[in-house]
Amino acid sequence: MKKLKILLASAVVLFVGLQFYRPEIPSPPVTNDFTGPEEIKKIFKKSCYDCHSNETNLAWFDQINPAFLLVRKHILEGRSYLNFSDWDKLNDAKRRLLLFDALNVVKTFKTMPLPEYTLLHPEAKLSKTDVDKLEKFILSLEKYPVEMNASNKSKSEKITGSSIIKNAPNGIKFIPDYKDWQVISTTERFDHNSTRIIYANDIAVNAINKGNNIPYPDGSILAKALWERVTNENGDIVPGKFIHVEFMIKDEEKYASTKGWGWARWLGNDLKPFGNDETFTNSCVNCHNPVKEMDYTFTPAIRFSKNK
Amino acid sequence: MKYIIAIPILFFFFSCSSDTDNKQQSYLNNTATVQIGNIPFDLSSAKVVSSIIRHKDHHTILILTDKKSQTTKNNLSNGNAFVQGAKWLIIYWQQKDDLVWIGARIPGKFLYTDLIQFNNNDFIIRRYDSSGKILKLDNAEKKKISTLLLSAWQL
Repeated sequence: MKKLKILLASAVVLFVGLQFYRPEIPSPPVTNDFTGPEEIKKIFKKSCYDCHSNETNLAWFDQINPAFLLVRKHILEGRSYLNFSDWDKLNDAKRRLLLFDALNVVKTFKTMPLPEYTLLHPEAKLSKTDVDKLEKFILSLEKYPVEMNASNKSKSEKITGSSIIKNAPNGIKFIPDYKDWQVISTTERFDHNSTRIIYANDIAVNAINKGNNIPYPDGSILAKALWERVTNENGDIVPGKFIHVEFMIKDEEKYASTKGWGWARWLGNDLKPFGNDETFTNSCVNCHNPVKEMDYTFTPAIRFSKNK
Repeated sequence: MKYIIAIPILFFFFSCSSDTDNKQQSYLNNTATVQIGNIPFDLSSAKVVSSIIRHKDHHTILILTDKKSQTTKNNLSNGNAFVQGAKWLIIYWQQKDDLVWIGARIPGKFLYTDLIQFNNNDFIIRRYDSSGKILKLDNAEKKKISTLLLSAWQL
């Protein structure tokens, strides 16, 4: 009984003591707010602004530790990805991309607003009408047709790469042979203004042909190359400037900490490795996490069949 | 009595049996499956020439060539002569929205393939449908294919 009292007293002391630990949540003045239609802004304000703007309104229960520390973490992470109060600092392409991202997490994956947030802030829940309005507005931002570029053919750049291509920060080596692999899909991303080709090595292609690619077997490698979209003289959209090539290398044991995949990306014609240190893989995993049921792959693979 | 037990068990197993769309087993774009059939083109040695999106027809197009024809591609883009026996394969799909990402479009229904064979400074074009049947091509369509080839380049 005495032990229980001591334990309870310690918990109370700890709880009270924790209330004095209050790291700051910066609140710089809002000078560059989102500039879209008022009804869209109203939806964002209701459901997103607490974590994705400098206009954070904490409820009384958000201010009690340890909840406060968790809320603060969400706010800082949210603002670092998308801050509506920094709208004027973003160019049109970045704004479009972030809005499409927002639409996908809201409509396709239904991961935002965070369920733990709407549980305590039910007024932030998005109605179907809200989502429909967001979708209509965001789809209207599609930049189509792509601006005609008469001389795009000469501007279409090959991946050249310097003679020595540096390893990715997680030690993964560049794989130049990917261009000899089978294509398993192409993708046009009008939100990102890019066109992509996805290649797979033999191990991955065998799994695809057997209809057994979820999960992909160890040794599978997928490569995705991206180019800017440009219109050629025939009015067709073709690859323009090379953006990057990225790899997913399957090894459940070796890459256990990054969902069983080794991630790597090389940017531009000089194939500069993406990321400053190993933590760059966090952005890869976070982006692909909503499609974990498909073994972290977004695009369904295409088979080439000899059978009729 | 045994049927009362067996039927629900069988129902459970059949309802859980895998098919090609079952995400637990595979993640495939089945409508886009390319039917190569007996088309004389070696896919195992194929390389990508280009990927093209023809918005006016809502088509995704992929142009492949056999590795032996690499010089042909370079020659062609430089306006030089073709190499005897070189082959290109053009694959056409109907483009569709990607259900996993609003803002993306991917190949949809597989439509047909064009096989182009270079011979004696000319080329023969054959179009195959999804059942491997050769389709008739008029001159306008042939011209469209040649324009497509001439605008393509090696990635």
